[in-house]
Parts: sequence; C-alpha cells; structure tokens
Amino acid sequence: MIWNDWLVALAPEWILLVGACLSLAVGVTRVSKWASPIALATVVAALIVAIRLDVPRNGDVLPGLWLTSLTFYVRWITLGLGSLIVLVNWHQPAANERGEYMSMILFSLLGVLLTASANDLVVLFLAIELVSIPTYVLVALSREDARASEAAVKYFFLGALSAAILAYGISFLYGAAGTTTIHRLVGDTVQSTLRTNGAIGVPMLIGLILVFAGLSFKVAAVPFHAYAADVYEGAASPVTGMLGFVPKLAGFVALCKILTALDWNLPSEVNWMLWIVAAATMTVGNVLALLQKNVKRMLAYSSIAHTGYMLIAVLVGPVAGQGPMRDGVAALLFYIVVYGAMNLGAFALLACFKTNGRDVETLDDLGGLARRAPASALALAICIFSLMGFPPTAGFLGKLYIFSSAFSLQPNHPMHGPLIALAIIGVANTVIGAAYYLRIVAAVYMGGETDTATPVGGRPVRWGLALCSLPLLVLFAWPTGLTTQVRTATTILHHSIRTGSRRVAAAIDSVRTAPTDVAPATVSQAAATYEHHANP
Amino acid sequence: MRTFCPSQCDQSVERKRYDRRPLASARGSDRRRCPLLAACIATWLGFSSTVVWASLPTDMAQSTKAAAPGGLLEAFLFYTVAGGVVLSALGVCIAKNIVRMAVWLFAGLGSVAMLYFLLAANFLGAIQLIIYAGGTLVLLVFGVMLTSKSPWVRFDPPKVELIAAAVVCLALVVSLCTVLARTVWSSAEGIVPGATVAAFGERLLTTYLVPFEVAGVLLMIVMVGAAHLARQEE
Amino acid sequence: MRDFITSQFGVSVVLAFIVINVLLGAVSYCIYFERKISAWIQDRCGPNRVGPWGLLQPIADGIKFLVKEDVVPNHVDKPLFIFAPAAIFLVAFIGFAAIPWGGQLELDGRLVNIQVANPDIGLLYILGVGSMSVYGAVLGGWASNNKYSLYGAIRATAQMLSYDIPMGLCILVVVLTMGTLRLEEITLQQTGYWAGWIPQWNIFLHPLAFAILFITALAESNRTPFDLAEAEQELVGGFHTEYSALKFGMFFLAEYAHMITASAFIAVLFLGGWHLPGVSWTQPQATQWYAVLAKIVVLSTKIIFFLFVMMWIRWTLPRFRFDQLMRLAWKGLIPITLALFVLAAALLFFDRQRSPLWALSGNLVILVVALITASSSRLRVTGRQVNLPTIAPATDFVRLGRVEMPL
Repeated sequence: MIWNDWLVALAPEWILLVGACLSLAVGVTRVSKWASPIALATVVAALIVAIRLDVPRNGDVLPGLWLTSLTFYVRWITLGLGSLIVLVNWHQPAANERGEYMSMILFSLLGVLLTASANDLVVLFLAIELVSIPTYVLVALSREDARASEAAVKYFFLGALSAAILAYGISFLYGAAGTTTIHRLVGDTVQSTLRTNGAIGVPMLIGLILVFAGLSFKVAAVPFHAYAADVYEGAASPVTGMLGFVPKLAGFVALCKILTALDWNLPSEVNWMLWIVAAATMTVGNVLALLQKNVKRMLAYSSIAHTGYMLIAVLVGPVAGQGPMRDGVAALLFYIVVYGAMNLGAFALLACFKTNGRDVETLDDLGGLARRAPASALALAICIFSLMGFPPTAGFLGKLYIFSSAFSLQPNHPMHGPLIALAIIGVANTVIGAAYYLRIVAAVYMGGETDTATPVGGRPVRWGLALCSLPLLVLFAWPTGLTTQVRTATTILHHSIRTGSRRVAAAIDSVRTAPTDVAPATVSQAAATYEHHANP
Repeated sequence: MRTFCPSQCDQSVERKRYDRRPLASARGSDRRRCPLLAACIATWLGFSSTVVWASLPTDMAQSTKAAAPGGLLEAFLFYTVAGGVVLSALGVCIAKNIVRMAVWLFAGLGSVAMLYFLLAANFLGAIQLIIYAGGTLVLLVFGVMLTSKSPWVRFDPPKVELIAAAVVCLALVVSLCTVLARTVWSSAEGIVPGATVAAFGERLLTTYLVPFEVAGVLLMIVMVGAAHLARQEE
Repeated sequence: MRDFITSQFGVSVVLAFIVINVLLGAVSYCIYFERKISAWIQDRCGPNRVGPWGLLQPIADGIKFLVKEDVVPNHVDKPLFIFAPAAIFLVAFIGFAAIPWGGQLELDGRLVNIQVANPDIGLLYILGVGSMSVYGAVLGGWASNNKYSLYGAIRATAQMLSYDIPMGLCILVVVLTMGTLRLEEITLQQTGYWAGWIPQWNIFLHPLAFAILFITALAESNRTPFDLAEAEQELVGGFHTEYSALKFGMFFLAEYAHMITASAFIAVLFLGGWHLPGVSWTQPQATQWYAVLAKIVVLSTKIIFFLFVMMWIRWTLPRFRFDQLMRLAWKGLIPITLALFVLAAALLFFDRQRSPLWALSGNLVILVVALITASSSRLRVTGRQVNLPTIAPATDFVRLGRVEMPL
C-alpha cells in the first residue's frame, strides 16, 4: 500500500529523478548530445503524468508531504515552463558537459515540485536547497569564462549564507511549535501546527522573520538582492532566464506555504516588514535598472523589481475574495507564470545571437536587430512589452490583477491603507520601468546599424523563444484558462481563512470530483460543502 | 590530479625574513613552564576526581535502578561543554588565521557532539563527530592551501566593518537572549531510549523517508557538481 | 568500596588504567619488534646492545626522547605546533575504550564486561575517533611552516579522506551482516559453528571485505606501502620534520598505537575477537577469571599476528606513488567495496546474511569481475603519471651512460 502511494502520488517527481539520472549517465558516454532530448522527453512525460494524475488527495497522503490543489498547479506550471527552459538551454554547454548540465536543470525542477508538496519544515528546507544547489553548478557550467566562475562562487557563498539563515529560522519555528510538521491531520481536520494556540509568540516571530530573510534571497528581494546583477551577468543567457524563474517560484511557494500555516493572518510587525521590503525592492530594482547599459544587468534588476510586484500580492493574500482580481495569491500565481515566460523569452533572444564571438549583452549589440531578424525582434518586443505591462500582452493582465487585488481589501483590514499606498508605488514604478524597457525596444527597432549580431543556436532555442512569447499574446486574449486553474489552486487557502481549523479532506475531495476545468460555480459549491462540514 | 606545490621562490623569501632571528631557540623557559604544567595537571586531576566523585552515588544507585538523570554531575558537564561551545564559536570569530579558525570550528563541533552525548543521543553525537568534525578537515585543507603561499595570512577587516558587525551581532545576541530567557519552551515528554540507533534508523526509513531520500539526491548533486567543477580546472 | 570496584563502572575505570599503561609499554616494544623483524628480513642482527637480546632498547629510547632538548623553531605557529602531537596521541589511545578485551567476568555474582565502555555506537565510535586522527598530522604539518611538512600534511589528508570511504563501507558490510554496532555483540555473534567445527567468523563470510579493511588499515595508520605522508627519502619525515624529542616520540608512538587499534578492530570484526574454536575457556559461557585471561591472550595473539603482517609488508613492499595510491582507492577499492555493500544488503534482504555459501559465491563473483575489469584496462600500472605535462630531458646534468634521469 505504501509503495503504491509513493509511486502514484510522486509520479512526476520519480520521472524527473529517473530522467535526471539517465541524462547524467548519458553525459559520460559518447552520445552525450542525447542529453537534451532525454531531458525534454523527461519533462514532457512528467508534465503529462502530472496533468493526468488523479491521486487520492486526502489530507496527509504520505509522511512529510501534503498534496493540495496548489501542489498540482505548481507542478503544471513548473513542468510546462521547464520544458521551455530545456528548449532554450538545448545547445548551451559543450557536448561533453551537457549530461551534467541537463540533469542539473531537471534536479532543480524536481526541487520546485517537492517544495510545492512539502508539509514538513525539513522537507521544505531540503527541497529549496534542491532548487538552489543545482543552479550554482549551472552558473559555473554554463560557459567557459572567468566571469561565470566568479558569478558561481558569489552565488554559492551568498546562497549558503541564506540557507543558514533559513535553517536557523526553521529551528526557531520548530522550537516554538514542537514539531517540524506544518499541517497535521487531526481526525479529518487539518490543523496548522504553527498556530496551535492562536497567538504568535516571540520565538515564532523571530523564526518567521529569519525564514522570510532566507527566502528573500531566493526571490531576490531587497536586502538580499545584491547578488542578482553579478550572477545574472556572469551566467550564460539561457541559465539566466532559468534563474529568474525557478528559484523565485520555489521561494514564493514556500512563502505561501508558511503564510497558509499562519492562516494569512500576520502580526503587524511582519506585515510592515514585508511592506517595506516590497516597496524597496520595486524601487531599487527599477532605479538601478535605469542606470544600466548591459541588457543582462538591466533585466537582472528588472527581475528584482518584479519580485517587488509579486510581494505586493503576497502581502494582500487571499483574504479579499476569490479569483485573481481580488485574491492576491491567485494574482501571484498568475503573474509568476507570465513573468517566467516573458523573462525566459527575453534571455532566450540574447542566447540566439552572438556578436564578434561573444554573447550579446549591451544595448549597442542589439542595435538594428529588427532589420536582420524581424521575427526574433518581434518576439523580444512582445516579451519586453509584457515585462513593461503594456496592454496587448499578458504582463498587463498580471499587473492589473496584482494592483486590483491590493485595492480590493476590506476597509477594516489593518493593511488596507498601506496596501493602497503600496499599489500606487507599484504603478509609479511601472512607469519608471517603462523607460528602460523602451530603451531595449528602441535599440532593437531604431538602433544604429552596427550589423555585428549574428544568429547562433539552433532550432530548439528559436522554438523556445516562440513558445515563450506567443502565449503572452494568447493569454491576454483568453486568460480564462489560466485564471480558472489559479482559482482552483487557491481554493484550499480560502477554506483555511474562513475558519481556524479546517475540514480540508472533505472539501478537497469535492474539488477532486469536479472536472479539471472547474467553473467558478463548482468551486463555490465545494466551498459550500466545506462550510457545511465545518459548521454542521 | 593537481598536487599542491608551494613554490620554492616563496620559500626563499620567507627564509630571508626568518634569518633575522636565530634559527631555533632552545626552550630555555622550561622552568617558567613548570607552574603551567602543574596547573594543567591539577586541573585534570580535579576534573577527573570531580567526575568520579560525582558519579559515585549515581553508580551505586544504579544497582537499584533509581538513578536520577538531572544531577549535579550532569549540570556540571552541561555547563562545561556549553561553555566550550560558546568559547570555540567566539574563537572562530576572533581568530585571524584561517587554519586557526578551522581548528576552533573543529573544537566547537566536537563540543556540540559532547552535548549530544550528554543528551543520550549517542548516534547523533557519533555522526556529528564523523561528519562535521571530520568534515572540518576539508575546510582545514582549503585553509592550508589558500594560505600556504604566505604562511601567516591574517584576516584584518577594516575597522568600519568590524564595528558594524559587532553592533549587529550584539543586537542579535541581546535580543535572542531576551527571547530565550523569557520564553517557556514546550518540551516533549522525556523518554530516553537505551539504544538510539535502531529507533533512529527506523524513523529515518518511515516517518522521515522523504527528507532522507531528498538529502540523498542533494548529496549526489553536490558531488557531481563538485567533481565537475574540479575537473574544469584542468 | 568493594561494591564499587566490582561494579561495571569500577571495572571500567580499573581496566582503562591497565589498558592505557599496558599499551604504552606495548607500543614501545612494537618499535623494538619492528627493528628486530626488519633485521631478520634483511639478515642483520638488529638491536642487541642494551640488555639481553636488546630487550631494554625501548626503555633507552624512551629515556633519550625524554632528556633530549625540546626544540621549538621560531617560525612555527606555536600553539598548534604543541597541540598537534598531543592531539594525535590522545586520539590514538581513546579508540581502545570500545574494544571488548575478554568477554564477561563474574565478580561477586554479577557479570561485568571486560571492556572500558560498551556504547550502542561502538563501531561508529571507533570510526569517528579514527577519522580524528589525521588532524594531528595536518596541524603538525601546517604549523611547522616547512614545505616538506606541508606536503606530508596534505598527502596525509588526501590519503585519509580517500581511504576512509572503503573502510567505512567494509565496516558497513559487517554491520549489515551482524545487525548491531556493539562490538561485544559482534564478537558474541561470531562464536557459533558451521557444520559443527568451522567458527562463524566474518572472515569466512566476507573475505574480500576483510582484505580491503586490512589494506585501508595500513593506509589509515600511514604504514608502508601507504606511508607517503612521512616518506623519509623525499619528505625528510613529512609532517614531523620539525619535531624533536618527546613531541617526535609522541608522533612515533601514536603511529604504533594506531596500528594496534586497527589490528584489534579487525580481529574483533572479522576474526571473532577473543573467540577460539575448540577451547572451552574462550567460549562466551566461561566467565571465570582464568577464562577471561585466556580470552585476552587469544585477542592479543590475533593482534600480534596482524602487527607482524604489517611489519612484514613494510620490509617487503616498496612505497606507492601518490597517483597510484589515489587510483587504488578511487578506482579499485571503492567500486569493489560498493559492490560488496550491495551484496551484503541483498543477502540481508533475502535473509541469507549468515549463509557462507551465498556470501562466498557473491565475493567470488565480485573478485572475478574486478580482476577481469582490471586486467582489461589499458592503463599502465607503473610508469609515469598519465596527465602530467612532458618534461624535456635535462641538459645541464651529466648523463652517465644509460642511467636515466629520475623524474
């Protein structure tokens, strides 16, 4: 019984693990160039399995894991964008290193999947490290360059420091809660162990602050953002595209998990800390990006700014209502997919060209690209407009959701006023951001004819670029597909807010019986069922 | 494999500096050392007699299986070892030479292992010794390799950094101590099993199987990554 | 008082006292035997001036070490320079605490273990203590601030780290077979018989693991052919070049103490400790004082046998080159021990861990596969290290006939 549960519930993880080991093994043989196809096949197979997977989603499937609707959503987006990441990295390192390289990407994705299903602080910590450690190796492997080594060393040391802070914070949480389990099944009720007595004590508070500090390194929020520019610049462009998405996703998912365990009801100290961090992250990221000439550094700072926007959504939380327009978490889950695609697309374009034998990096290198490679330039323009938040792209929707969720808090909410102020800061920052994003577009379309950028990289990278940019347009026209999923993913959070202790098992069962593309009506029915169970 | 090789030219430079002093000095100060030696022996005797004396009653009581765990001896040992941990941690921070730091770290990790032994977590203690204290060795070797060119490289951070670090650390220490002193920690029922190894192994393969396996994957990645980065040097 | 002395704690304290002192003597006599054996192998006389047959030579050596001038060079890192021999000496001796010397003794109607400590982590304790032993060498080498010492220290570290892995895996094979970490329990489990007369010693289950453990024990105690850390001819003594007088003596004694620990450890793990088949005094049931003495004699004989083999090897085999040493560990011993480990786990899974037929055939298969793999390798066993740059022949040296320049 146990074996069966293990195999079924963690099927995508198993597939990734096997695929990663396979590509590692292929890497030392003479057919090491097969590593990329193997990696792509692995991710796609895991994605298919994750979509088709129908496991008994009862509260506590396995010790240490809790598979919720959020887990499933994160699995889908990780594996979906993961296949794009593999495509963009297709030709990246020399063939004799590709096996290790691809396996590191797969391991990192595996880490995100485990982060999403973790229900134990130890598993959570290990999963986040499983995301991070392969990225250190990836940065070093990505190109034969002293800068890459330097970036990897910086990334590694600061990452190790952040891991230490995170572990220290977790030890406080453990000391205060008396257990490492995050949610515990009591009868058929799922209880948060972090909140057994209702109030949050001082040790718990210190633990939370330290955990947030450790996680803000992973998402590159302000006091811990300093590594981002150097690392992003040092690594090869395809890896950079991955760095912007994978660790951030893991960090935000972990953040959501811990906040869910606190019923999204934070002490005001933590609230204000997050507020300041969010405001500073947006502003610092955008202002420093304005000063850059190097496109990779510019995009690195822009990724910091985007972390700031996403932090607004975290701060709003799911309290205001359902759906991405009012629910901060839903907005976050929507935004991070869009962000991952547009960021990866921008870096994929940089990976497609070389100038004078080196990678394309500065604005001048991109000058006049539109005349020689109109299709690629168009893809880049879509990604950049999306990063800017300009209407015909999904980036606009993402920002709209985040800001509108900040405005939709009830006036009696303690952070109502401050969050509106934060949203206004966010809008102002978007305007600042437009300035440097437009410089990239201007360079591509109106820049001088330097005529040095030559296309490199094969078809897979171009496919990756296309698959990153086209959905941004599609998603703008038909956002319902994603928003429905987002709404389903956050169902569990809404149950957790209504009452302190939840009968999640029943509620989740009702969600499971609903079809995958569950309409809002079904969700509210599930909620009603849940209410019925909670207050009979 | 690239073997470490201190260049001869460096060595000659160093030699010159030493030549100003006599090559070796006999330890003429042996007489001065006598009191020190005596003090050491006295401390050792005192320590061991305290141990024996303090354990006498508990050992006699053991025949009737009524040994009280929290006795004078335990408190004494705990505070001694805990003091050792704090001292060696301070040593790591204050030492200016990387090898000395590693030695202090070794002492600290060893003392933590002693704490585990005191808590009857034998397995954890042994593992702490083998993995952490043993692993410090690698750090030590790195230290040796990094500082071998000029033997006494000292880390002298700028005063500003020192002051800033001291302020931050002091604030942290004060706040943490306040918190620790004021909190009533929930403690689990103290069941100390006689043999911890079997129970430990069983838990690792049932309740904590996921972290166990994830840690295994993590270690494999670290190994692959490290081996690969080392290979790149060629 | 009598009650205290006959309790386990009292016996442990007394035993610790006896063991430490006896070992200190034994260690100095090890040096005597080393010299005698080397003389015998090389057809010389060996020490024969001090006392009858030179038996008082170790005492004379000890006095010499004590009264020699204790030089601390000016350019050393003093605290660590002084700490290093103390560390290596301490670590070499505390390993003996977990060795079961003589089974159980009946005292005043109570059974006490003739063992200083019987922790449930006995094996791990010895492993942990063993892994500490390299610190003395490394710190001594670094603190000496001498390039030969530093070479010795770095070689010692690399060697220990590499050989710790096959050693740990061999020990794990025993743990899987026996299902316990207590050394006394491991000895007890080896006291049965197969077919009525073959003792159930682990050597008859896993001879390959035994052989590899012996090889790694040589490496861990820095014995030839693995004594690169102190290679006299190239490194002038390696990590203890700068040491003199008693500090040097401590390094010297620690090496021999290490050999004794390793021998005792192997004897307990693979040769049944104090058990000797067919002798009623060395069975677990015998708890009289003379039986305990007989058991101690049996274990000591086994230890002395291993010591003899180690010395024999030292005066027979030449030293490895460093890359050969590393290749032996990483490409030879580690794969074989990994296979052995998997074999032991598989035997355990099918509940055949005590069946000599299955274990021996598994060992045989692994040995044959390893030999075939090794013999099909194109790499030259001797000769120059593969990946070094070629060195142009020296022109400023006079070449004498066909004598080649040494590398």
